[in-house]
Amino acid sequence: MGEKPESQVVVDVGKWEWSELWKKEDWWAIWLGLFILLMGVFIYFPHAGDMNAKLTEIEGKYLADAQKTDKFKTIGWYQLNDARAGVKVNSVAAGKWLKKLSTKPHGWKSNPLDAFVMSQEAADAKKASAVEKYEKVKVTEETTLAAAQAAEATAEAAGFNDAALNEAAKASIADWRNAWLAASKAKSKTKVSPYNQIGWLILLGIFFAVFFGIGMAAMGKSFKEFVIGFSFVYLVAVLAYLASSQATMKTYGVGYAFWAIFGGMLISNTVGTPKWAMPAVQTEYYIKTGLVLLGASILFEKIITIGTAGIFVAWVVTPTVWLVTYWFGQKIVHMPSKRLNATICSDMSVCGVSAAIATAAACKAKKEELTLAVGLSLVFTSIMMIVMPAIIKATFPVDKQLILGGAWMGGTIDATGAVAAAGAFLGEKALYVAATIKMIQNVLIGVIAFCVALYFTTRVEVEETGRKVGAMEIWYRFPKFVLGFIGASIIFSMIYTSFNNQIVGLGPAMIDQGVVKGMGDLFRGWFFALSFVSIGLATNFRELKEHFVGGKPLILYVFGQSFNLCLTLIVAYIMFYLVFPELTATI
Amino acid sequence: MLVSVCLFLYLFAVKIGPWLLHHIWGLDRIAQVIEDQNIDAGAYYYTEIEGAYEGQQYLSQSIQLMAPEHYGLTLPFLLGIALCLLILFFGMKALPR
Repeated sequence: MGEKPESQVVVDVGKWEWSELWKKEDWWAIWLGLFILLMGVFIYFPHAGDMNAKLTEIEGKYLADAQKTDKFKTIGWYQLNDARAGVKVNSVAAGKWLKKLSTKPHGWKSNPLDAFVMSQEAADAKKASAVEKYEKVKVTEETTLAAAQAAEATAEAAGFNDAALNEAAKASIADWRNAWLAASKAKSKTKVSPYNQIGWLILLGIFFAVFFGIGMAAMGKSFKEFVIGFSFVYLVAVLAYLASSQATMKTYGVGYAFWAIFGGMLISNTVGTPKWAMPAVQTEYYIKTGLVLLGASILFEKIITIGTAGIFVAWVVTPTVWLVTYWFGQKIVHMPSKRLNATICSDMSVCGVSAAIATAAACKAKKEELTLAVGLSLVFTSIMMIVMPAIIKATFPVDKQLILGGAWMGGTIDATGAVAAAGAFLGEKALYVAATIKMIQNVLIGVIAFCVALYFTTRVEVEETGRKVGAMEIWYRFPKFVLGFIGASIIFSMIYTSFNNQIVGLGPAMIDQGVVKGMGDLFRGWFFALSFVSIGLATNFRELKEHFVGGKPLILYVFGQSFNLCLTLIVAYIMFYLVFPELTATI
Repeated sequence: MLVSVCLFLYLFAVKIGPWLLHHIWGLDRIAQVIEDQNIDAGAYYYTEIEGAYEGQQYLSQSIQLMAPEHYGLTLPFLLGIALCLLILFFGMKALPR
């Protein structure tokens, strides 16, 4: 499957028409995405004053204790951070309602109905068991806290100048933190209440049908036909979430993207996709709207989180691996499709499925190409999640397992969930380093998607059409939703920083926990699931097989990931242990 | 075929998968961590993982307390960003035609 043959390439004329704003899918993705984000702003921003007051109160309570010494992190320091993390604007009534509306099927083990309905009795039994477990770990937490307080007081009595006492306090506080972590996780499991998700899922489906249907009608399609077809696509998306919420599948890290594509393909290749559902099989429409929402979570201030070492691991290694792998794909493997090459490069070097989605949309890849790239990423993610922590445990020096191991996994494992699981396997610090490196890589999606869109518009499409393009034609061909994606990122990055300038923690409380988690994220996953279902429903196995001929995508992925593993490990070691050891010591 | 595939998947989820958990080296321990810490191993993006927010807060506050000279837009940090953009700019220009 090569590039599009010349006869199939549409030669666009550089002509701008204002009607595109309401007739083109890219613009509708921007309008719908911005609508959701603006709703988040209207719901949450009026509460900024309350959040500011809470954070001020917390600072008054803990700040002095937190800053007693810079020799180690005191109990007060941890309490300050824990209290700040607890300030979340989405705990307001509207936020809770939106969460209820958009909740995916719950976890289940053997009875799928448990995903939709839980009775009062079942909830009470589950809660009683969780409370019992919590009570046990709570006692340990209280005991270790008392020991940590005593050790810290002894170190303080010596003016924090006795290195041995400081070390003893540090070790004691570390024991308390481990117990605290176990207790806080156990406590979160005690919050069990009965639910019946069926009514909410129907309501959500109606909302989505109308939401996307309006855009379809404006683009000249039948609203009625879309709504009828949407009911089928939505049902498959619900089933995909149902499969991904099963306990075993969760453990193996098989998420909704796999189930959505697989479910769609299973239907289309067995009983066939019903004709009446086809008007709602709108892969790009859903994906681009989801990407505009994703843009709001690409907050540039986050890249300073782990200092210069982190930026080199996440932002210097990643584009290097992307470019080398792309070059390898073109020159050595001779990948027939540049778009498939680019999509695999992004999912392997940046952050898996979300990067693959953004790149595929930016370079206008075919649906089979995205499916293939996502499939490769999911398989290798599951393997690496199990193998990498085992290798680190077995081969890394003990003092380097958490930071170096965490940075290595964060920079190489594709999906964030698998990164977190592998990091948590090594310990809390490894989890934090791994998840943070991955988060900084996530921020790079915007930059990579923009560059890919520009490269394909100005270079690849020029070669395909054999015509030079001027500035107007570049604008005409450029995927416009990327502007919404980048625009949302820039605007919310500025708001995030301005909140943080008012008081530490206000940005995360208002943007992370508000507009992003309390609004955009609630719907983004659904939109991506709808797009993956659409991909599956419109794909047959034969078409997919053609893209895999010769195993070239697999060779490309394996080469790129091997290079990524080597380079990330080398750069992480140099940055964390040779160039900035004093920064590493603070972690 | 549709029915048989669905049946196999259900069997994998409730019987074969859990059995394999105890027979693939290291997987049962990973499964325990995922269960204890309530991690969504199938999450695709940092906003879906609580550890990313906790890690962000922990790391940034740690550096600010103990090595503030390394926090924020320092010269080496800006150099890292500039390097990333330069790699992308020249790399994209040099890609094979």
